[in-house]
Amino acid sequence: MQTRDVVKTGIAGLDAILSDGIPRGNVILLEGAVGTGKTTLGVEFVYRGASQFDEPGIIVLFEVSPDKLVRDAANFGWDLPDLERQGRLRIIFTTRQVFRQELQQADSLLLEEAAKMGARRIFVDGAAGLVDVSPGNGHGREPREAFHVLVEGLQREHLTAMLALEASVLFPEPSFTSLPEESIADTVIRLRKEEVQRASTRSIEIVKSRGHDSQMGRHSFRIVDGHGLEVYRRVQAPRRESRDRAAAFDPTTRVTTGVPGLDPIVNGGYFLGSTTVVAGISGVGKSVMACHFLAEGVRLGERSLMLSLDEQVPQILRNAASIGIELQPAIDGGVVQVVYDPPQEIEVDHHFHKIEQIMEAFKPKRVVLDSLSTYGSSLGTDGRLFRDFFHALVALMKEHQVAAVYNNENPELLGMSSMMGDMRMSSLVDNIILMNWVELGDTFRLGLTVAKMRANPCVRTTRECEMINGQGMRVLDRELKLPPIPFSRYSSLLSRAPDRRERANPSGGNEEIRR
Amino acid sequence: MTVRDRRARSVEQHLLPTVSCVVKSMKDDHIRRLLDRIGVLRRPCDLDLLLFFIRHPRALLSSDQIAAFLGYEVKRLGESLDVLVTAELLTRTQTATSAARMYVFAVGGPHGGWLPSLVELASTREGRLAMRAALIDQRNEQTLGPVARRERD
Repeated sequence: MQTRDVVKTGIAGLDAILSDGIPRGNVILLEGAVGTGKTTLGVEFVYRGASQFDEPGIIVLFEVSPDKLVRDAANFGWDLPDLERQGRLRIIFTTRQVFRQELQQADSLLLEEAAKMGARRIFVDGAAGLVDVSPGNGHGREPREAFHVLVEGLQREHLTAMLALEASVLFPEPSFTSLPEESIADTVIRLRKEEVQRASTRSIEIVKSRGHDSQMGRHSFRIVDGHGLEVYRRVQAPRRESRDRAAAFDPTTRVTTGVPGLDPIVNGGYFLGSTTVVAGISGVGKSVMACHFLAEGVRLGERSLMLSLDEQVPQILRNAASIGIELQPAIDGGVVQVVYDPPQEIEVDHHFHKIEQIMEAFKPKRVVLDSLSTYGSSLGTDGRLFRDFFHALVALMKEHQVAAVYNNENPELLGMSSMMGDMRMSSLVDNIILMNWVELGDTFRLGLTVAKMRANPCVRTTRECEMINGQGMRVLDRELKLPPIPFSRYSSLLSRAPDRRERANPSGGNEEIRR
Repeated sequence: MTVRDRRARSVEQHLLPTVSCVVKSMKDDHIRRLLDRIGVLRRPCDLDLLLFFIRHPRALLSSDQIAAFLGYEVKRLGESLDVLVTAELLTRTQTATSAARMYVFAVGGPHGGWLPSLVELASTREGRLAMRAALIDQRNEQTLGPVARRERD
């Protein structure tokens, strides 16, 4: 099979959605409104070519002063003057009129310059005025034909050309009526800046891709100081096949929970590759359980990761220390990573990309995500976004064969009418542990129920838990010596009205049922 | 107001204009020395053109377009282009069919040392105007005869 001759953009994340790059010689139209990042993308395309792929390039500017471009590029760490000194880059300032004439001349100075330096890429910033699409302004030609003439000129020198076009000037969103340039260009990339609540996010979409496959839809990107563009694949976009194949968990290896008394009721621990949700109202001890889970990993020398949206790292470390778990030495030793990402205005593609990178680099065996409900409130549980994100997250964890525990805040103080609240994701989850307050007399006591254990025997008894000062949590035996009266003497613990069970009375009759 | 305050104010009132004159004179000297080092600039148009090519080191333009950018007559601009090309600060390539020419500012050319000072001085409006004024003065001086110069002095 013939190998594809593609031009790698070198822009972080972009080649992945372009199926490795763009076929050499393609004319790429870069559309977008003012401030969407067209110039940065175009300059990076040429810069990466010249600096990483031995493909010299030319940047053509009409309005932007080259010294400003050089200054702005320096903020990304791109030393354009150095590339110019090496003869691998030319920044040419001209006018649209001259540029248009140049591409139509056999003895074009511009194309001669390109040939002399062996240019393989060209970026033209501000191509919108190159072909005036208003009627009668095609310089004697139809706009489509006039643009075709320009493209022919670029292709004579086998240049892979990127032309930045301020599309919104002509065709405001959302209409984006087809431009004459779009039908002639081989690849059309559209950049957008979208308002989400009061924040702005940037997205990139491959609208047309002649001769190559690409991942459809709007992917997020950021312009990062000191680096350049970073494109993050849409969280819904398909990943490598191995991720899908890893859907099942390993039904032999168990990961112990670290919570005294819990392992016996979860058959010795969670399976590797399984998904566990711990659900309960705020304060029932979900984060404490998470700390136990991490500490158990440390004890066994298993790399453990905690991803928190709720509490910042110092707060997590302090809380862990309060129950006798010192995570800092384990962090310093590289066994534990605790990562906090603020949930406000979360950019889901970027966030997921970050998790993928951590998983790839750290390769944990245990992961705790605190919490699913915060993802829900950030992304909204109504639409598909949260569901798609959770699907992707579960697939990622399974691919890496980790035992993943997701804390989920259930809003109900007493009793539970739904295991996953309004998330309706329980089909994706292998194990569900419900934690709930039980009001007995004048005291709230803590109950724990293993509601679901996929591929495992599951005894759905509710067990009492207790928090021991400075030591964390433990799950108590089912039968307790009185006092206190054990949970096993009650029924309907998860409904809001526990009943004492009838017990045979030696004197005959039944003991009174107390409420 | 104490005696000391009054004395301080008096010193300020008498000395400040003198200080200001000295600073201006030092700046003028600096500009003259810089223009001497550059050597080739004779007119404000030469200076503005040089600054244009520092900002646009590789420009594919016609002289009409450059004249329009800088606000000079085409003839005057053409003379300034010749000045820079002759001084090897600029290379110019042309073709038979196009009015546009490729101008390349000789970044590694014979202007060792003075370029950063020029850029710094021209980065403010005040600095650029002072340089233009110095060029005009210099030119007037050269056009005055020896008698007129003596009378002026």
